[in-house]
This record gives sequence, structure tokens and C-alpha cells, in this order.
Amino acid sequence: MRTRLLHVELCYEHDVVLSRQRARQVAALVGFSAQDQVRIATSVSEIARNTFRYAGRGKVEFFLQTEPRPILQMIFSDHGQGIPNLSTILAGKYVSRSGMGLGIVGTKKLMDKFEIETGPKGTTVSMGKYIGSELNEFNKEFFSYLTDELSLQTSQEPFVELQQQNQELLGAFSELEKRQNELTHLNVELQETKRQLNLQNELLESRVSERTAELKDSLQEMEKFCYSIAHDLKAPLRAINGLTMVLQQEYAPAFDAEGKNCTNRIVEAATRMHILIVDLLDYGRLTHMDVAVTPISLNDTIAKAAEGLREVIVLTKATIEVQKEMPIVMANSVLLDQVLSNLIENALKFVPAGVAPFVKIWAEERTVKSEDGTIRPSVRLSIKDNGIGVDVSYHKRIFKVFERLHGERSVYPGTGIGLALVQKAVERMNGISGVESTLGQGSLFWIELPKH
Amino acid sequence: MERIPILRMGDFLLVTIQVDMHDRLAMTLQDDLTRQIVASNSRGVLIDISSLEMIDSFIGRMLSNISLMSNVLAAQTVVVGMQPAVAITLVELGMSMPGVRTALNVEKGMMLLRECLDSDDSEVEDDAS
Repeated sequence: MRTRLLHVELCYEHDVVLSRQRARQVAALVGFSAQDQVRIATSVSEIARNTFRYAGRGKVEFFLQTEPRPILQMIFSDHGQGIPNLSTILAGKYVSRSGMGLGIVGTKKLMDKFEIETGPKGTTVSMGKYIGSELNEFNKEFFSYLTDELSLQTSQEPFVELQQQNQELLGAFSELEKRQNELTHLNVELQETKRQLNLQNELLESRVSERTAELKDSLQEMEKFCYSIAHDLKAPLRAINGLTMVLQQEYAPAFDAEGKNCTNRIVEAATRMHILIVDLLDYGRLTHMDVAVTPISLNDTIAKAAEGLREVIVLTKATIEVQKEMPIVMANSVLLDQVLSNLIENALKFVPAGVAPFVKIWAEERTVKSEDGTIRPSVRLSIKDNGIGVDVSYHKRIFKVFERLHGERSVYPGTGIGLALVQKAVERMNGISGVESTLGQGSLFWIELPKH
Repeated sequence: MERIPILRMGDFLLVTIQVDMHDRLAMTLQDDLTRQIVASNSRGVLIDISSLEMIDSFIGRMLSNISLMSNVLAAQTVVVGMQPAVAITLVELGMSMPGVRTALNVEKGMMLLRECLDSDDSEVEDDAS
């Protein structure tokens, strides 16, 4: 008696898996040992794969034959083009080292019965495995139990489905984990980049401060150099001066008018040079001398400076108006004296011909925000004149050494150091200086010093 | 798409096959694994097949291929947990799996991988000296 237990269509790749799973189920149900179950499942897998792979589609049927000897039969059938080199395959000559072509030959070894028929209209594989007769009694009850179990197995599919979904979830999880790892990795890289940037930044900053220090050093060197040149120039100049005076006094009769003119001009030039050098030395000294500041009265200092300029004031019929009781500032008395003398002298000097200078001096209290952000009180002293004024475009230049807006032989004599000296001196006293002026409308020079 | 997860454990890759793989899934695993070996610079692959109740010639060949390919990529592959019935069937089938190292369980598989690594390293050192 032969009973058809079930059949599996082989249309999709998954059907190969299904067929071997069913084979194992059937094998277990009819009482095969675990080892035989594996053998049967493996065999079904091999042939089902061949059927699906080479014929495109087919089916496998499972039969239980009880007479003469109980056997589980599996019959594969398809409508493919057949197996062209079957004899070679069956002879085992087709088996490659890696196992390719092993399917049919291997299955034949695993099965007790194996028959294959192939032709251009399709292939049929019939194979079977004997069941130990003592295992089961193949009666009606057994077959109804068998059919029940097999249908039950089918209804368990959702569970398999769930298992599969679980697998997919696991896959998604590992993918997610990978992404997260990548993100973490990126984050680490970013932090590393940031750290390197910071490092670079620090390096740059330290380099800048290094360079600044170097520049400051070389500037100081230069200033020292200038100072020493000016100092060394003094001696030969003294010789020129002395020798020319000897010429003028002792050898005057030997010179004609032109000769006398020349010696006079030599003396004049030497005197100018002397003034220049003295000014330069003053400026140079400013850059490297220690400047001690003490509370100083602006009124007193201005009075002193005016006293020094009395001759000029009288000569030019100038008027100087000074605010009374101005605040006390923190300054160096020598430098402040020099600064105010310079500024007042300028105010008196740069007036149009025939105009009596009028100078107004006053102070106002202000606040200054220093570099570290603190606000400290300061005093701004303004000196306003009715002079020729300074064009706006020259406001910065006039504070530089040897910058003279008026030519060498102009009506306004001077060395061109005065305002540079003012600026430097005020700077050394922790103050600032500036000018507000328009050409032809007088000037207002101001200095700002810390209030006492 | 269905995939067998590949877990990274330090220098090793760990694959636990818990489903009955259809052929394409097996091929995907083969591709994924070789790619992963290169991507993560892995030196060993541990494939746990203790859940597999059957290995036919195709899956056997896939395992063998993975071993050979990983070898070319300087990684060792150890297949662990093969059920006895599966092993017997494979032999009866006439399937030899060249290049496949096996171990009884994951623990022994890891030990084997580490030993392989150590001997590899010492060979490198020997060569260097």
C-alpha cells in the first residue's frame, strides 16, 4: 500500500528550504532516527535544488509505502530540458574538489533506493529510504495521526514567520549598531580635529607673541642705535663749530665778503644740526629712560613753560589764556614740562604773518577704558590756537619724527621732532595725544593723562 | 532584505547561523563576510552552525568557500558546533570541506582562532628576525 503524505511545489528558492524542512518532519513522524532524518533532509535538499535550479520549477511528493518493506519515497518531477550528461555525473566523474556536482551522486549514497529518468521533456527522480519495521505499526490510526500532525505543522507557519522577522530585526539591529559605531567614530574624529585646531591656534598665538617680542626687541635696538649715532655726531659737530669760530675770529681779515658769508652759513648750519641732534637725543632718551610718575599740577607746569617762552610771547604780542585750578594729573615733571613747552611753542609759532597768537588752555575730566577693561578717570588738556591749522590728511603724519609740513627754508623753523617727542612722552606717561584742526582755522592739540 | 547578522568581536567576526538558509541567503552571507573581513581588518571568523540541522552540498561548499576566501584575505575561519548527525551525513555525501577548520563549540573555536593568530604572529616575528 502506498500513501501520498504531502507534496511541495518547487517554484521559489524558499521552496527548496521548505521541502527539506517538510522532509525532516515526515521522516521524524514516520519514525526515522535523528541521523536518518538528517540524511533524508539533505537528500531532498540536493535534488530539490537541482529541480529548481535546472528546470525552473517542479514538485516533490512524499509517499509512505508499507509493503513489502516499509519505505519513505520521495518523487521529484519537472518539465525541464533534462540532464544532458547524466551518465558522467552518475559515474562520479563530475565531482569537483569543492563539491560541485556532488548532489546526485551524494544523494544516491544517502538513500537506499535511487532512480533517475531524464529526457528532453523532463526529469523524474525517485528515491527512498527503508523504515525499520519495528518502529511503527502502520495502521489506520497511524495514518490519521500522520495527516493531523502534518497539517498541524503547516498551521505553525506564523511561528516560522515570526522567527524570520526576529532574524530580520536582529539584522536591522546589527545594521543600527554599525551606524552608531560609525557615528561614534566620526565624533571621535571630530573631537580630534577640534583638539588639533586648538593646538594649532595655541601654536599660532605663541608664535605671534614671540614675533611681537622679537619686533619690540629689534625696535628697541634701532632706537638705541639712533641714540648712539646722534650722540656720536655731537663730537665732530663740536669740532666743526669750534674750528669755524676760530676761522671767524682769527682769520676774518683773510676772508673776502664771499668767504665770510660761507663761514657764517657753516656756523648757522652747524647750530641747526646741534639743535637737531639735541632733539633726537631727547627723543631717543624717551624711549629707554625710566619714567616715574608723580602727582603734578597742570597750572604750575604751564606757568613754568610760559616762563621759558617769555621772550617769544613778548616778541609776538601773544595772549595765553589758562583755565584756573585745573585737576592734578599723574605725570613725570620733566616730560610734562617738555610736552607743554613744545605744544605752546607750536601754538605761538604757527600763526599767519602779522597775527598776534591767541592761545587758550583748559582741562576737562573724562574716563578712559584701559586694555584690561577697567575704567579709570583721566584729564584731557586742550591747547587751542588761532594759527594756520593742519589739514585733516596730515593729522597722523605730524606726530612722526622729522615730518615737517613746511619746507626747510619756510617761515616756520623747526626740526620736525617736536610733536613726535610730545606723542612719545605722553605715551610713556600712560596717556594719549591728538589733534583736531582744519587748515586755516587754528589747531587744537590735546593730551590726556591719568587723573590723580 | 533578509541577512545573517555578522557580529564583530575585537579581531574576530562572529556569525551564528540560526535559520535554515536558502541558497541566496547563503551567498549573501558569503559576500557580506568577505566584505566585512576587509572592512574591519578581521583576522578570524567564527561560524556557529550548532542550530543547523542539515548541511547539504551547497551550504557545505559555501562554508568551504568562506574558509578559502578568508584565508586569501589573511583571516582564519573556524566552523563550530556541527551536530554529529550533520557531520556523518556530510561524510556519507562524499563532501570534503578543504581548508575548513572545525571546533566542538564556540569556546574551543575561539581558542583555536587565538592559537592560529599567535602562531601567525610568531612566524612574522621569526621572518623579521
